[in-house]
Amino acid sequence: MEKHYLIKNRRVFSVLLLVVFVLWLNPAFTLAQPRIVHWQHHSPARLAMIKDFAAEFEQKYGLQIALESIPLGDYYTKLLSSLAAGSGPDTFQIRSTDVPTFIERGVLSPLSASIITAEEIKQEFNAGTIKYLADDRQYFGLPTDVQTIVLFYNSDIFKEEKLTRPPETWDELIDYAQKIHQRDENGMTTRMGLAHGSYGPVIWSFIAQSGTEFIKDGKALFNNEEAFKAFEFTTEWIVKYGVEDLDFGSRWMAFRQGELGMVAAHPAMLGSFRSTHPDLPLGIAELPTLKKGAEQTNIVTNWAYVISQKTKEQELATKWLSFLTSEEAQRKMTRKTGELPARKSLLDDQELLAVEPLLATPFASLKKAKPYPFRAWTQMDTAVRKAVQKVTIEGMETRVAFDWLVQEAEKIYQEVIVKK
Amino acid sequence: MWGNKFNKWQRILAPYIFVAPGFIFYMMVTFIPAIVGIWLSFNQWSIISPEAEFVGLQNYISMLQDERFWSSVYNTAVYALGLIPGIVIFSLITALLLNTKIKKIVFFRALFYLPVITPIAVASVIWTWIYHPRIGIMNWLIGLFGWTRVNWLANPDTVIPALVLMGIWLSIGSRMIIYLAALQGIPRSYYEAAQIDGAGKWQTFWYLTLPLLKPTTLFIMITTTIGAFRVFAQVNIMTQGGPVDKSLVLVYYIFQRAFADLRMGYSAAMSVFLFIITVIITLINWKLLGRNISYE
Repeated sequence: MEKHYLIKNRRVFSVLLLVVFVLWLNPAFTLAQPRIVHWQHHSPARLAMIKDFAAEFEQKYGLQIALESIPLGDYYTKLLSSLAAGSGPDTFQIRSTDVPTFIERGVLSPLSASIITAEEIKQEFNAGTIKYLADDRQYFGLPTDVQTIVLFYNSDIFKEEKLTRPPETWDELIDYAQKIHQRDENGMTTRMGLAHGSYGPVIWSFIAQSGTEFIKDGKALFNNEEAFKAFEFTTEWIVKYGVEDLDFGSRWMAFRQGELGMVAAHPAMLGSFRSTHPDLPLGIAELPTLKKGAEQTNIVTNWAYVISQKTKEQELATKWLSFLTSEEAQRKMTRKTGELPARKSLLDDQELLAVEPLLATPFASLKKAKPYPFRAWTQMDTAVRKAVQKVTIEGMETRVAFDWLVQEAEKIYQEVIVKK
Repeated sequence: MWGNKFNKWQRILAPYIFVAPGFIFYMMVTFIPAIVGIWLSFNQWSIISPEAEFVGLQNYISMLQDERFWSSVYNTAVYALGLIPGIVIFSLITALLLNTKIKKIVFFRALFYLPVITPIAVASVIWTWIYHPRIGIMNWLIGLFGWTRVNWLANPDTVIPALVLMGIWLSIGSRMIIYLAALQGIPRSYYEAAQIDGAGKWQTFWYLTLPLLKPTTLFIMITTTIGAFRVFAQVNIMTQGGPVDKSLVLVYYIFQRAFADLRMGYSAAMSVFLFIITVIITLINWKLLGRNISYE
């Protein structure tokens, strides 16, 4: 009887179908359960983990997490455009140093204090990773993608050269590199001693070892003799000692193939080396210091999970970010991706160290690391790379290049932080 | 009476209604954004902030005083100067070689066209390997002549020529097809007449083929010029403007200022500059090559 009625009233049936279809298209109808749109930059290993976390969180709290993993090269372009259009995600990642700018522009919502308080954040997370994540009153993000700078070395090459322990001072570092470096009869490098690839955080880490302050209120404070010596030291690997050969090609390929003795890099490379070259004989040491026994330090870089000011689910979003950065989640993430945990409690975690003993050194390096010294992270990385290349490629005097870097730091602050 | 009036209005309105979707789409995705871009160039705007502050010509003044901007203009001009003649000459030579009746000619035409359908990201990775200082084909090739190896992408003197060579490889296929179509459009009777007049192969090419290809050359020059000034992807993937800004091209610099520094107004000012330069160069091309063009 019912079927007969519907067939007889095709119009009514069609309208009903249309209404159902329109309602189905409307997320507010279909998603009676709350929904959080989460964006992050892409890494296959991380995406797999986040998917698992999302599934677990959905089950626990009865909401939907819509994940989008975007290649890093396109990430900021897409994120900024969508935020400008008012269609951005509820939760997303940004570089930690960008958080103050996003706060100033009213783009971010503070974390809900009913889920996690400022005091808890200060107590539980490494200080270097949360420096940029708060204003005077409250926190706007939780740290992720934490990286320090450490020295990877090929332990087989060390054995071959009878080097029984990692280098501890700058002099030792050069001495080791010279022993490792090999050339053919034409003077072409066949095995490279040491490399930094003019990579910003590595150069800043060596400069940080001088104990210098970097910048305050737009005034560059690293214009001092100790900082200059550190900068000069990194250029000398190439121009004075010749232990880093710019014509040798990618340092990563060289290290993977056993053609590079030591490379200063982020600990995340451990996961990368393990996945592509599981048999690579690896060792990790902290960055050598100028003098034996001097205080070790390096630069920590990290991203932050933040909440959009436009989200309707601030509390749930905070809960989701707390879940993503929970002890258990960070333990899993470190185990699978090599990303360092931001939680202090995990830096002595025996379970993690039992699985990957080499993590002990990166964990130790994080305890001593200083936060990235500039708010304009990408611009200052480009600037310091350019300063090193001015010496190593253009043959500029080191002092002139260093002075240029100091001026550039102040110029970038004015252009990027003040004028923005 | 009403029927006639309706038909009359229908005749007047119908063409506009048919054109309207395309026109509205064009206005939405091209014209209006361009006007907004020009307006933005007089403002300071960080993209994430809802408010833009009107700053008059300040962005243009900053641009003219910005050394890196001029450096990027210079690098782009050098790239274009290498790329444009390279593409015109090599695509013409390729088209002439492929405009013959040999066996499997379609295979060779497809072979030369392949780079056009190669994604730029893939092409960039391939060329990064070609230019690898130790194991790259390029250094192996120059090694055959006894030359020492070059770090093509990390050497300030070779980075732009390396990008030009890749640019020629990328674009030669599409331009070759256009030349090939133009060559096949030249009536055979012209060549027969030239032959009867005793013209040699070189004379036939110089006094007959080349002048008749002038409209095609003009088109290729203009499109290549526009493409050369918009080079971005390969720089972004292969060199990131380095070493020491030697491959910092204008669009990459605009992108950096817009999405790294969040200086949208400043980037818009540079985009307006790029637009004006492109129009000027197109007009010069038109003035120099567009004269005495016969399409018959």
